Amino acid sequence: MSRETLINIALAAILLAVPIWAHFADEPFIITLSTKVAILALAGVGLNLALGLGGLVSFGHAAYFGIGGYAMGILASHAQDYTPFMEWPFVIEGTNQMPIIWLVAVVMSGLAALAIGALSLRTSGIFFIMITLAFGQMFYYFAISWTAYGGEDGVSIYVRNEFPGLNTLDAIQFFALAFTALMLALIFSSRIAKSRFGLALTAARQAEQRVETVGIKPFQLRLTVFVISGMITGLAGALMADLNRFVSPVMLSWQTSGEIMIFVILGGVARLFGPVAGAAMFILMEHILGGFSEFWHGWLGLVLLLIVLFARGGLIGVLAGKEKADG
Amino acid sequence: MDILQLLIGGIANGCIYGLVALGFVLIYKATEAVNFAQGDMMMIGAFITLTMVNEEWWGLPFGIGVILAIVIMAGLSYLLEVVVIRKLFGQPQFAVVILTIALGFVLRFFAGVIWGHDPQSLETPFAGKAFDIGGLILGYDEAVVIIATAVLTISLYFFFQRTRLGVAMQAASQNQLAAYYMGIPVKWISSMIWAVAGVTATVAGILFAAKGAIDPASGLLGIKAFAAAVIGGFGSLPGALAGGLIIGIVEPMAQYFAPPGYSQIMPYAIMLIVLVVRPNGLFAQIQQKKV
Repeated sequence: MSRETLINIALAAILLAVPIWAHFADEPFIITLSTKVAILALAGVGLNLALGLGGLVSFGHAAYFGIGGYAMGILASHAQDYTPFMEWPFVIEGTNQMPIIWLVAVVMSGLAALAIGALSLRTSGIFFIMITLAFGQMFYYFAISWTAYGGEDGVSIYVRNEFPGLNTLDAIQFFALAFTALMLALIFSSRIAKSRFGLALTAARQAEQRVETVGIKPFQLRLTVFVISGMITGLAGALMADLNRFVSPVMLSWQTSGEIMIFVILGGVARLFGPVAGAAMFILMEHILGGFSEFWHGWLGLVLLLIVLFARGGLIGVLAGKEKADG
Repeated sequence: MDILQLLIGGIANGCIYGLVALGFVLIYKATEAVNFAQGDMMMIGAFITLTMVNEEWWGLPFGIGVILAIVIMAGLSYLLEVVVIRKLFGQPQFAVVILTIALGFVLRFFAGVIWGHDPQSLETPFAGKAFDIGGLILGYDEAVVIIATAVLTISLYFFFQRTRLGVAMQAASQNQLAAYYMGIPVKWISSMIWAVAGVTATVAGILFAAKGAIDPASGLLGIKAFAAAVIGGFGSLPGALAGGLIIGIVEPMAQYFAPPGYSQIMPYAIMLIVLVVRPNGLFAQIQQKKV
């Protein structure tokens, strides 16, 4: 087993052990923090597929995160008010069932990623960064002016949605859901990276012309990975909305896109567990530094500067050393 | 009349966006780095000027304060390139993006610690007065913004066309390797470009703080200036200015004519349309340069 695999297992074990300990020590806040780490890591896993594997610097992943969040907010708010979401041409009721909400979140964010990706993948480099940012901002300002769902104030949901067979109001059970989703996404993304599709993507990232020459279209590969990436981040958004029982346009802002990117960079780009390490570090810093200064972003900025300057593989890179034969 | 009035305000705002966008483009052309902290550099430049000029701080004469602030910001930007940015040479583009975003956090943080988080105005000799041209109000501050932008743009033009350093900068941005072979000190040129971008940011900041008020979060307007730079083609200096003016003018117009909320979408909507129709911007200059 390589050193990185050991570190990955250790990270997963810590993320699982801390809330279980907190459960028995009766520290619900720590369980909530751990759940937050798992969910944000999930969003990062999504972005890492596009950024790490596909080499696509998307600065608009908040769009999918927010779409996932709003899928939950809209469906649950209709269930809460007993008003149908739409009546014509057929009646669609709101719902408070997580599996349905997740499905809607994943499908909607996937569709958004398909549309955004199809347009933005025609460009590359700085223009790709900017066009994804622009789409994200459009969703942000749209949500602000969408008064039907709270506009700038967002939507509050009073009771957490339900999952068959579980009591989601129990913090540790909701954590279990988020943790399972994260682990499944990690297994899925490691499978993708090793599949023919993933190898072709890596090749397209490293030498686009060669890939074209052997008859593979990089555009299609990239669009596919972009959509998958958006779906995973969308699922994270739905979970996040359920954790907070609240959705607001902040989820769609470009700062959120930046934060998701920060998880990936802090932890290590293209490293499987990079987003997990990054999100954990982010939340720890927010919690510890946020305690004595609400402007903890300054410190986050310093840490980021150091990581980008001196630790190119992020946290995982520092712990596990260089990745072998896979740049 | 209303529309003309909006137009004046829009042009003045657009000049500020354009100046910040100019900084983006300068740096991008010369080093292919994208400086997401350009807006925050503007904010720092404004605060330094404010410290020099305002009565509650040092109370220096306005002109001297402005010149000092510009010199200091040029030096700081130069150092920034030497100490931080150069370390990233050869790393993927998003490393610089993240680095400069992080830098923005840090700058905002220090600005908050030093100058506090309340908006402050720059005390200028031209505050609060206005020309009245047949019912049309042109504030001195707006006039100064437009004139200062024009002067700075023209001097930059002559700087790039006529001076040794300017021509060397052009050469380095078109083909670094060839410029290097011709004996141009490319590294030093990159640092100097950052210094020039620092100067344009400071001028933008001074104008911004003179027209309204500045606080540590003001640098976030950089993201709009970014859209301006993209609209203009990201490789073209006149394009950046034009992009800034487009956004500056469209914003108040949209506020006036469109339903509330939509005016904020406009800069990005325009940028999207431009990117979809002309993927390299309105004033595309980069044809072969693939990143």
